[in-house]
Amino acid sequence: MQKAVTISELIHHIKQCPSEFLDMPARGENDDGVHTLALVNDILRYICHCPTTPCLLTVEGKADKTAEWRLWQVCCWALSHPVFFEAGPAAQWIPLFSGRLDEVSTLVETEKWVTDEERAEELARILLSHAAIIPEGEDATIAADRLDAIDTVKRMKVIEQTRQAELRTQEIRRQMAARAAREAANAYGRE
Amino acid sequence: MTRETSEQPPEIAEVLARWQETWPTALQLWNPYVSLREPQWCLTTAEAREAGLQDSFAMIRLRGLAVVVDLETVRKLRVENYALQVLAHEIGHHLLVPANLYDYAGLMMRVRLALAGIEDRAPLVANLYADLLINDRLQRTMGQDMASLYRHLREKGIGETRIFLWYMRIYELLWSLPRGFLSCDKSEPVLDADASLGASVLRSFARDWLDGAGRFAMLAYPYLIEDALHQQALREFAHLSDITSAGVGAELPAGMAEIPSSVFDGIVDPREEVLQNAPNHQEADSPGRAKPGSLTAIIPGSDASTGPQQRYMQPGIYVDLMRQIHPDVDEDRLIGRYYRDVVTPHLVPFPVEALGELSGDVLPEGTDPWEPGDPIEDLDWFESALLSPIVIPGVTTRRRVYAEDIAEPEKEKPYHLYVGIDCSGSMHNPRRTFSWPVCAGALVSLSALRVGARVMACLSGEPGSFMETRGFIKEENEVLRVLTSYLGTGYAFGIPRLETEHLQNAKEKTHLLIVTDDDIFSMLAAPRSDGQTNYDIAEQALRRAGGGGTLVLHARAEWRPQEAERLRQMGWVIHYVTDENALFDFAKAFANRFYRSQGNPTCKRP
Repeated sequence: MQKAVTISELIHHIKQCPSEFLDMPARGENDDGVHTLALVNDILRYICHCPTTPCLLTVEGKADKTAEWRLWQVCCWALSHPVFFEAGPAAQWIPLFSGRLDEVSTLVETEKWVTDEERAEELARILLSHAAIIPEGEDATIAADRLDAIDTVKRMKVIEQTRQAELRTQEIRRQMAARAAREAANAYGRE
Repeated sequence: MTRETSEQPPEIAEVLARWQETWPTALQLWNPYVSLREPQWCLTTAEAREAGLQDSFAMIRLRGLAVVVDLETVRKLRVENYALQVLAHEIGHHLLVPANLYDYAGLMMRVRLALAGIEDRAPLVANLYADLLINDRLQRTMGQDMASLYRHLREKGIGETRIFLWYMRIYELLWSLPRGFLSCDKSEPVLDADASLGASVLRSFARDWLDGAGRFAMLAYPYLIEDALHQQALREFAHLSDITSAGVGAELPAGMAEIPSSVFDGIVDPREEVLQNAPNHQEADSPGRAKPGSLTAIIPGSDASTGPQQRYMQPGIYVDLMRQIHPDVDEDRLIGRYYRDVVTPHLVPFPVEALGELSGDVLPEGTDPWEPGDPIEDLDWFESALLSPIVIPGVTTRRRVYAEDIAEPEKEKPYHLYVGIDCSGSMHNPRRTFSWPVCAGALVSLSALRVGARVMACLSGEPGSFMETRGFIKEENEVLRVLTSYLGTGYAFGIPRLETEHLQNAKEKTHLLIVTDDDIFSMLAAPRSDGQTNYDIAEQALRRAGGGGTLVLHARAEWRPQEAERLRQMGWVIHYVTDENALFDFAKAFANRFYRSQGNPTCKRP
C-alpha cells in the first residue's frame, strides 16, 4: 500500500472539477453532450500509461443512465490526480464503475459530489480504497472507519429503515402543533 | 491530543493571570483589529451567578459585547489549560454566531419553527448549532485544538443522552477524529447517519449559517421530544451553554414579527431531503407541492404566519420568541412592538416641510449697529436717538435691517384622533392571536402621531369595563399599550365613553373613529337614567369633536339600515367591513386620507 496524498488534498482536487465534466452525457453518436464511455476509457488508458489498450468499459442495453454516467465523468476528473497514476492495472477499475459508483450515483445529485465537502470526501475515499491507497496521516482502520461513517449507501439504508419512526415523529409534530393552536384558540378565542 | 493536567488545580490568582494574559492572543486569533473589552472575570461561582452565568464556565452577553468567565468552575472542571480555546470560542459568538441580537433572533425563529410543539428546546438547539459553527472554524481554519477541550470535558463523565452522542459524533466527522474519540464508541447506525447529515449541514451552511439552522434543528428534533430526555440533555450541556442568556438587557430588535418567506425554505428535514433528492426518486415535483420534508409538508395548513400578506407570526408566538431571547422584557412592550412592526411599512410618510417662495415684499426686521464706513443712508437716526441722545459713531448708531418676505402657506394642523375599539367578548385577544381591529387602530394612531396629531385610545367592552389613555397624548408606547390590552367583557363599544372630559374640553378639532360591530346599535338604543339615549351622546360627541366621525362596522349594510341612516344624519360616516382583513385596507385608506402629507406642510382635512 502506498501513502501519497492527504484526504484534504484529494477533496480539494475533486472540488476543482471543471463544469464540462458535469455536462449531460451524449445520447448518440452525433449528440453534443459528453461521450462518457470514451472519456472513461481514455482516462483509464492515461492513468495506466497504456495508450493502445483496447476499449475496457462497454455498456449494454438502452436504459437511462444519466446519473451513473455523470458520476463516471466526475470520477474521470478525480482519477486525473497523480496519486492514481500507476495505482494498478486499468482493468481493476472496471468493477468500480459498474458496481459501487452505479449504486451511489442514484442516491446523490451529481453536483453534490463536487460541491458538498462530505460527498467529495466520500468519492475520494471510495477511489483511494479501491486503489488500496491509504491517505497520509491515517491508518487502514481509520481510513475504513471514515469511509464507513460517510457511506451514502449505508446512510440511505439507515434512513429508510428509520423512516417509519420519522413518520411517527412527524405525526407527533403535527399533533403538537395542532394542539397548541387549539389551546390558543380556546383560551382566547371568541365567546 | 489531550493535555496533561497536574493533580491539583492552580490557585485562582494564577488562573486569572494566565487567562488575562491569553485574552489579547484570543482576540488576535480572530482579527488583529478586533476590539472587545476584557471579560468579566468572576473569581467565585457565586459572583458568576450574580453576573448571570448559571452552570457554564463562560458565556456572552450581546449587550455591551461582554464575556463573563467563572474561574472557579474553570478550576473545578480543570479546563484552566484551555484558556485560548475557551476565550476564542466566546469571541466567536460575538464575531461569527450569533454576532448580534438581530441574527440571534433570526436563529431562534428558525429553530423554533423547526421544533414545532417543543419550542422550549430552541435555546439549547440554537446554542449547540452556534457552538458547532464556531468550533469548526476554530479547529479547521484557525488551527485550534478544540477536540482536546471537548475530549477533556467528555472525560469528566458529561453526556450519556443520544443527543449528546449525536452532537459529539458530528465533531468526530467534521474533524476526522477516530470513532469514539468524543462519542466514547457508543454511536450506532442511526446516530451515525444523523451525524453525517449534521456535519453536511454544518459544512454547507458555514457561511450562510442562518439558512442551515432549520435543518439542524430538524435533525435534533427526535432526540428532544421527550421531556425527560430534554431535561437530562439540559443537565449534560449545562457546562457548554453560553449564549442562552445572550440577549439579556439588550434592546429589542425591530422587525422580528415578520417571517421572511425564505425562512420556510430552510425548515427542511435533511433525512427526508436526501431521500427525495436522490436522482432515482420516483415522486416527481409538481408546482405547488410542498418542498420535501419542509414545515408545510409536515404540517399541512400550518398556521405559522398571519397578518397582512400572511407575513407575520402570531403575537403569542412572537412574545414567546422574544422572551427566549430577552427573558426580562415587559409583555406590554413586546406586544406594542409586535403591532408596530406589522404596521410600520404601511404608515404614512413623515411630513416634509417645503420652503415657500419669495413674495417680493421687503419687511423691516429690527436694527443692527451702524459702523463708520457703512453707507450713510443706512443710518437710522430715529433708532440711534432712541438709544442715546449723544451720538457716538459705531457705538450708539443703528441701522435698520430688512428681509424679503417668504410666502408661508397656511399651516393646517392635522385633526386629533379619538380611536375607540370594541373589546367585548366577540373580539380576539390581540396578545395571543392576530387582531385586525387592533392592527387597524395601531396603523391610524401611529400615522396620526407621526404627523404631529394627538391621539386618545379607548378600549371598551360594555357593559363591563373599559381602558383609555390619559387624554389626547403623543406617547406612542402608551397608545399601543391601551390598544393591545384585552378586556373581553360586555357586547359592544360603550358609547358613554364619548362623554369623556377630554373630548368635552377639546380645543382642537378631533376626528372620532370607532371600530365595532352591529351590536353597537343595541348599545346606541340603550336607555339612560337621564332620559337620553346613547344616540344623543353620539350626536353631542360628534358636534363637540368638530372633526367628524367614522364608525367602522363589522357587519353588512342591509342589517340595520334605519339605525345606520339615523347616524348618517347626525354626520357619522359609516364604513362596513364583512371580512376582518378589510379593516386593514380601510385603515390604510383612512390614514392616507387624513394624515398623508402631499409634499407641503399641510395635512389633508376631510
